[in-house]
Amino acid sequence: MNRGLYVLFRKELADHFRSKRFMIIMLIVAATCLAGVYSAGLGIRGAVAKDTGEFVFLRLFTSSGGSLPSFATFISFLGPLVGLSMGFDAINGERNGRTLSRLLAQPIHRDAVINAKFLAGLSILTLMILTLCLAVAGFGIILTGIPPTWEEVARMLIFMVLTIVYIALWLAVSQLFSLLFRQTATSALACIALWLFFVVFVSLFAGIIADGLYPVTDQSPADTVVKNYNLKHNLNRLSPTLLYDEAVVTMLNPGIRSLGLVLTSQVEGAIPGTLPFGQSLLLVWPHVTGMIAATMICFAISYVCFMKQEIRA
Amino acid sequence: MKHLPAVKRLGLLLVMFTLLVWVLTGGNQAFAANGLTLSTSYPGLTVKPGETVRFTLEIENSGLPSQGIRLVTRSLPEGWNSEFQGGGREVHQVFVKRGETETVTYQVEIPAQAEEGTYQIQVGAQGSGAMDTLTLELQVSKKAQLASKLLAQYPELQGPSTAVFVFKADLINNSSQEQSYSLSAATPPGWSVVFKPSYENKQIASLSLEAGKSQGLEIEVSPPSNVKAGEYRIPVRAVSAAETVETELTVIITGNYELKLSTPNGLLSFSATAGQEKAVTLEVVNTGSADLKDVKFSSWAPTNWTVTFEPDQIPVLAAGESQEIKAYVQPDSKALAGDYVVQMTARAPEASSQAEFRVSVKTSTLWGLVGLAIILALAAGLYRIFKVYGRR
Repeated sequence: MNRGLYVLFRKELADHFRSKRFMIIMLIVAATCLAGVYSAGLGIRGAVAKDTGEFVFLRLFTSSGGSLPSFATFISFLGPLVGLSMGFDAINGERNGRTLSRLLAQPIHRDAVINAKFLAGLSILTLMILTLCLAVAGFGIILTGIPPTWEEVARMLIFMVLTIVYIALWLAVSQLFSLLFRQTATSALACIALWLFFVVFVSLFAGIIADGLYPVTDQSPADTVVKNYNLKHNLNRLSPTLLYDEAVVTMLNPGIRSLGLVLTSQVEGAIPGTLPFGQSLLLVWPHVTGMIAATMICFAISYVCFMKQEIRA
Repeated sequence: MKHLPAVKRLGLLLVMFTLLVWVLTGGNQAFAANGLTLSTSYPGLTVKPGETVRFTLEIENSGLPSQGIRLVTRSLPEGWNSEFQGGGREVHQVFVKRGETETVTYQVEIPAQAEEGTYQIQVGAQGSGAMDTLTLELQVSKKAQLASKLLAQYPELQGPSTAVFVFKADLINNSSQEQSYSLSAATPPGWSVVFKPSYENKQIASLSLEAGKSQGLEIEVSPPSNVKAGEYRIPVRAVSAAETVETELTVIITGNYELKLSTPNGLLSFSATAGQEKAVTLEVVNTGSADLKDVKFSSWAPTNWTVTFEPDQIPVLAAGESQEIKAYVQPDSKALAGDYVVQMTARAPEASSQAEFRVSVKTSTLWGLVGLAIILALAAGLYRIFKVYGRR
């Protein structure tokens, strides 16, 4: 069984690397992200001189220089595209090319096909994120001349893991869609629709629902305002994009102590400072858990669907 | 007529009697009919050995022509010195005009080893055709000798424990000879006393004074740094071979009240988990010089935090003593991760001290474990799906 999985995994990897689609996506992501980092890097020198110089290395990922968004923003926006582009035609593409039945005629287990496809996608995006982040890190060391501290390295590693999980979630979603829709174009459209919904529209809907349930006017009691805000925020958190953004900001900016609404009583007596690594991780742990869980659930559904589907030649 | 001569005779007798009485009662103020009189106001003096005394002699010329009068010492005890002085110099003649009086100072030096007893000195004034002699009597008594003195200008000074007390004092040698005094002070342990001559920055341990001279001294007294409030007496002595003079200086230390709140190792930061009590050991030290009573503890902490002290009150904290107390800090269960400030205050009626703590709040790892459990449960579910649906 493992041998069959391995063969298919190698084949999938080779397919990805040779496909023009992958090259295009990779180029888009690499070019935009590196451009963002470069423009941020130009501003970093001034920041090093002006500020205390704490966590300068991490600022390379989060600060936006000039007109270009930061590296983290680009990844949060384009990352889903990478995942979706790799998975939207995983199964229905094979089916339409009439290669699936031929594939399953081979002496391999049926689950090896879907496992290999997911694992190959995961490997590709891991490789991609690793390459990009290491490139940024190297660029940062050259630019600032300051080697990162161990805490910065740890925070960067968590950032990479978060990014991989985030993109893997979109990969799992697109694989599920490739199973649910027979036509590749349909699944591609569905993927993009979902992506747009979570990136752009979810916050609009969250606002409408929250305002409908807890209307806020000038005279509203504080209680209603808090409820309105909390509902809106929690609805927004249904979007993996917001989860990812919050988690990344917390990990890359140690000064962030809380996400969401902070009451005055909580701020009283607080001293501005940075959180230790463990506390930052604890703060975003629900986000990490949520994203990993969503990925696993998506994959489990597509696994069950695939195993139950009729494969007709 | 017969009566008249009798009256005349009686009158003559009266005059003669008066003259006789005048002559007899004239005493040592020898009356010279020719009008030269040598006199002084106090011809008898009690003196001490080694002293120098001065007599003011008055020479009166009544009826004689103006002339120079020779002054002589007719007799003087052996070993004594004397001289006539006038106009700041030694003189042996004085010119007295007719009917006028001149004054001359007669100085007698009594030797230090003079025995007790009564001594007589005879001085004479010799004019042309007239002379007078005056006997001066000196009673030498050792009792008349005055003791040396050590006098402080202000023998009591008051100030805080950090002050240096400077007493101004005069050491007077009232004896008849030069003396060397060694200076000392009996101090409580930890005190220091330094003797300095006035207006000189020298520390001296002894000094020598000529007879009759005095020396200004500055006596600097420094209390130890941990001195308690109260009154301290410091006897100061100047001891010479012949005598001991002593004076007592008093220093009144006014108590100062100081309190310091810290931790035994001085660390003013600790970490605590949100919603969980954390014990911190504090140390309160009475750094003042007076005892503090009713030291109470209070705190300022963010809303919904609780800080309790064990014990929450110290009845008496003696000067220089320290005591450890426990503070139990419980952050708000909704406190954000990160640093907060908590102020703790130890307060006595007279003094207070505040310590500011930086509390690093950590959030509970409970939800982290819950998240991990969710992921593990999902992994187990996925594994079960593999088992159920796999291998087709």
